[in-house]
Amino acid sequence: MKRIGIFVFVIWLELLIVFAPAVDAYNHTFLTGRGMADIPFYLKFLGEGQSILSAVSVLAADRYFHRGIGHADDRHEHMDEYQDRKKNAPGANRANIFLRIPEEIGVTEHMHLEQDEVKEIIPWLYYAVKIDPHNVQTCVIAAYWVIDRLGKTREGVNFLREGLKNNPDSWEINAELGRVYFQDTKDYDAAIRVLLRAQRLLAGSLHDKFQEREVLSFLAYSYKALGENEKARSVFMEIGRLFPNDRKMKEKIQELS
Amino acid sequence: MRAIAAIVRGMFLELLRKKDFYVLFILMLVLLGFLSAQTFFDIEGISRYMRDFGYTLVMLLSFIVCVTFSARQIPSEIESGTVYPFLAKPVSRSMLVSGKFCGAVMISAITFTLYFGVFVLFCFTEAGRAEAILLIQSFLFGIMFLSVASALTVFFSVFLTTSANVAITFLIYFFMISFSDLLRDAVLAGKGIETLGLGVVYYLLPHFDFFDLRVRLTHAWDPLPLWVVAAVTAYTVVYCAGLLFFAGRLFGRKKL
Repeated sequence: MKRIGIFVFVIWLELLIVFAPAVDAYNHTFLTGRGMADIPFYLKFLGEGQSILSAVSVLAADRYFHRGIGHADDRHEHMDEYQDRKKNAPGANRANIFLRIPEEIGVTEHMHLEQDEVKEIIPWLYYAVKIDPHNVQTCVIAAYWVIDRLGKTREGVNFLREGLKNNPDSWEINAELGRVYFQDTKDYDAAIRVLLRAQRLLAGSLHDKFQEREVLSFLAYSYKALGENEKARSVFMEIGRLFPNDRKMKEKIQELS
Repeated sequence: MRAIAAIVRGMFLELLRKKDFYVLFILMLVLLGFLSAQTFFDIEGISRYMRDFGYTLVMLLSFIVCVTFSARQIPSEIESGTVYPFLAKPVSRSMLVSGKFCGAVMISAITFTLYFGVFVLFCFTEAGRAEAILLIQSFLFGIMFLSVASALTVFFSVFLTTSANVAITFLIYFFMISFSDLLRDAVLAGKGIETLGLGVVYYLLPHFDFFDLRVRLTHAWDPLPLWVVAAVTAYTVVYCAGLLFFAGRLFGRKKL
């Protein structure tokens, strides 16, 4: 019996040695082909749940921005309005201390973080993107706060570049990078490169004309900053076609003629 | 009183012998250390998420120690037969229940004080005056929270097995933390018999949500008004006394 046990164990071990590397190699090739080889194990473990967790993290950022107070419901009613409505509810008896304690313990005033305090929302936005690297909107929002509100341009640009690595087909990240290159680092060549890419990607995705205008505006001004007036003019004309009643755009086109 | 003191002393020695307390303490240190080592875009002074996680961790870990420790007291005494020498002495069953409750509160308070101290060291190196008052209130509320949890667990331990007791107490805790607002809204919005039914449930369930100052502490809101502190203290005393009274009565009728 003991010999049979040893025999089965040796066979099992050999099968393991033969098959395990083969399965591992197959898995690695499969994941690399889909750009998933570098994903940490906990994200693989989360599966599709990562987008939910990422959304929860964004909601936490919003709650932090309102100093711990969330929205009461889907109608985006703020908690202070919600509490007022509850206080005036027909069943609410103001003499009942028991029912009033939760109101007093829970904070209800509607306030926003101000100035330097906004940095407190950053960890949640950061983790939202780390948990779901394809959460493009949050990547752009995080970069906005980091660069425009907290003045960390280099770090923000690196964050956007990492986002672009994970989402090469995102016009939003390309457009945001273009805006930052134009506004903050004054790297107009780089701005034109990414904004042209954003314009190309934008054409193939659902968008509104205001979004297109933003991309084109930065592109036009980047050309203008480099002295390429003819190219700037043609981009302004594209904006003019989007907004035919925009007088300022007509003036700009005439100015560059 | 001497009998209660002896029970409490015995429970304290048991706490020192058990590994749960140390394991959770090390876990908390590791998690807080990990969180404080995190940097985001080279931005300095980000602290609120640390306070948030830290306070939640302190409350949760203290609650785990409190419940797992209190839940096994009476059942293990009955199982091992050590309850008989106790009752052979002039110690009434109600006194045994009270002793177990006092011991549970004491070990929970020791655990909470240690965990809370570490949390304050990590997260509040530069607390202002308002924050100091809020910290004191949080500490006080934490102790009261654990007292209610101890009373509830000791009450359940009179007629439930240890595992069932732990499971039910945790369920009640998570239910009240998550849904007490909804329950309160339902009580306010209900009419007639519906309000009565919901009201009974609302008033009978332990309001763990009363003790949760996480949002207030994390976002540095003003300290609570004095009347709220007094009302919550009164609630804790009344609720614990009620549970202990019924636990004593039930234990008195129990066949050993």
